[in-house]
Amino acid sequence: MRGPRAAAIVLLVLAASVLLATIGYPPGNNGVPGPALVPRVLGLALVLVGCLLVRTPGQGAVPRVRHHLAIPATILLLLLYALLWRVVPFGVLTGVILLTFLRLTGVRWTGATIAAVLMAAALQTLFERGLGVRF
Amino acid sequence: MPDLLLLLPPLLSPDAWLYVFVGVGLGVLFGSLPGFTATMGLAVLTPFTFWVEPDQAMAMLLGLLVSAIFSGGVPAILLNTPGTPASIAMTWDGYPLARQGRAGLALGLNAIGAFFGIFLSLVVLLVAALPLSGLALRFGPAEYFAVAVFGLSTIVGVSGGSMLKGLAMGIVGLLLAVIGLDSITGYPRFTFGQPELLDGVSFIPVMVGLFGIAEVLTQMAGPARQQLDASTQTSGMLPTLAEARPLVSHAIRGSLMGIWIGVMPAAGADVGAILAWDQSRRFSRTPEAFGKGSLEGVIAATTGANAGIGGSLVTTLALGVPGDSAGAVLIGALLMHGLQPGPLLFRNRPDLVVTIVALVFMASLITLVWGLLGARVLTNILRIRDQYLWGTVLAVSLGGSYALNQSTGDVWTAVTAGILGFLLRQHGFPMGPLVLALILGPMAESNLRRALALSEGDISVFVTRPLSLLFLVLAALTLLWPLFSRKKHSHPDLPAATGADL
Repeated sequence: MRGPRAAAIVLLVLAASVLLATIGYPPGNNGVPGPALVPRVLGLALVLVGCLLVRTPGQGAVPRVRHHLAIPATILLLLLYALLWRVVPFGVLTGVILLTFLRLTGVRWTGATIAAVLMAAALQTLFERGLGVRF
Repeated sequence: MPDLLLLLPPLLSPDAWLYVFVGVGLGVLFGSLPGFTATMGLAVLTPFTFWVEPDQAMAMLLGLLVSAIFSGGVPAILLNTPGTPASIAMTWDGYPLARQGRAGLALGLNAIGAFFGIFLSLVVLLVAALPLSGLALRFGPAEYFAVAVFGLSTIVGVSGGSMLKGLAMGIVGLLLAVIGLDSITGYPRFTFGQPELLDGVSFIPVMVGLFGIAEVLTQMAGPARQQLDASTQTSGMLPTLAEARPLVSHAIRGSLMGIWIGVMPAAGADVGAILAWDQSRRFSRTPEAFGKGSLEGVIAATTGANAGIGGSLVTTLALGVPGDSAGAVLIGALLMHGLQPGPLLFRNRPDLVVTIVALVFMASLITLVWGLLGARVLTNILRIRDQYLWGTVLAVSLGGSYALNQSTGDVWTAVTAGILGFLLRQHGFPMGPLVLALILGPMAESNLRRALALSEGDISVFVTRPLSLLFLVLAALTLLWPLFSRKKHSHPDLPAATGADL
């Protein structure tokens, strides 16, 4: 099961969660709808669209892509970047992440190291000195 | 027409020129490189504009937008690969012209046509300002709700290939927009006890994730970029007088077509350029030359694409309805600075509207000079390796998301939006509808409930007020438009417009 059908099922689960979550919301009064109206309408609309998407034909396997190994590795790197955001100093973290990313995408050690160090230093200067951001 | 003297302060301000210049420089980078769109540039730059005045922020963002649309024509001419979807039509005559050894002339016409198209579209924006500001007095919650519905109806236009997938993304965007404290009752919705969610989902990190991080991952999955032929010559950029004379009528026609398409929400610059090129061919004395390096085709394509900028600013600023993803990001930037685009903007801040006109003019002027004198730089940009740009965009995107509120939650929001955006794009789900819905959702909901409160629950208020009815009818027509346009505009020789992000 691929493509629209898998996404449609995720959307249907999301719609069901939205509808369930709004059960306890307060009702409206004097003809003015309460906070549940719009989420419920959207939840029902999502059910409808999800059902229609389930009926659309699924795609075949996603074709082999360029950097097919680097993409999941980059996603992991991004998660690691966010996880260590306040643990490791920004400049060091950015430099290491960039170096790893550039190596993953096929840049040679020398070029990757120079670029990572320069970019990390530039960003650290821009954010901390230029914009007064505290990491 | 607004007071034209208000044009002078930005035109005479060195600061304004500097900020526009910075924006133009970034726009050249994002526009020239295939895959790096104007929307991506705007999304990445927006968080950094938080530290400057709204006028200065607009100077950078508009500079970026103008030059990115122009610069998209450069790889279209030199590599047969449009830098942005707006320059698709430029490949049809620009590249054949370059193959005939006249790449310089194609680049020169691209620059001149861009300036001409933008200039005419700014005249239209100025002329439209007064009647639109007059409408502001007649806007109440019912009208604002109808305008928001009209804006949401344009989701069908920015859905690309699949309207169903676009609708799904639009609904998801609307659901994201209801997270946080309810604006009427203060009741917390979908916050799961997290204080960070009480203010709702941060728009800027979502945008950065969807258009910055997801775009990089998408490019990594795509085919490698074509490399520039070292023998490409870029001299001889200006046409002779004999060549230029017949181009004027095509430039005017292309501009008018671009403005008209730009004013219509969701019909982006790519549609404007394609229709301008097609119309030019119909009226040309040498239609057989189109597609083989016709100068008329080049000028029509560039004026059509660039004139859409002023046209789309009319609806973006006057109604608060973004014409495309780039417009949505611009609205997000204005909201970040506490400015609500819409009818009241024309009434309360006519100076800002005129300043925006001046800034777009300045950007187009710098772009013209840059386009004519910086051809060598433009061709060198095409030699930058993708990997360095990807790394920079990822780091700047996350740094910018954090810097806005100095919140790690925003970093997680951007990363999550980026990863989900990438996965959804891989399966053909467009991102434009999600962003449109995220912007227009709160406006639609709060005004729906305010209008019902004022009318004591009478829903006929939306159809008994003329302006409200007008926008609801426009919304219905916009929803039905694809059914008609597929029949009327399907020309066998024309590739379909992409509906992609600019």
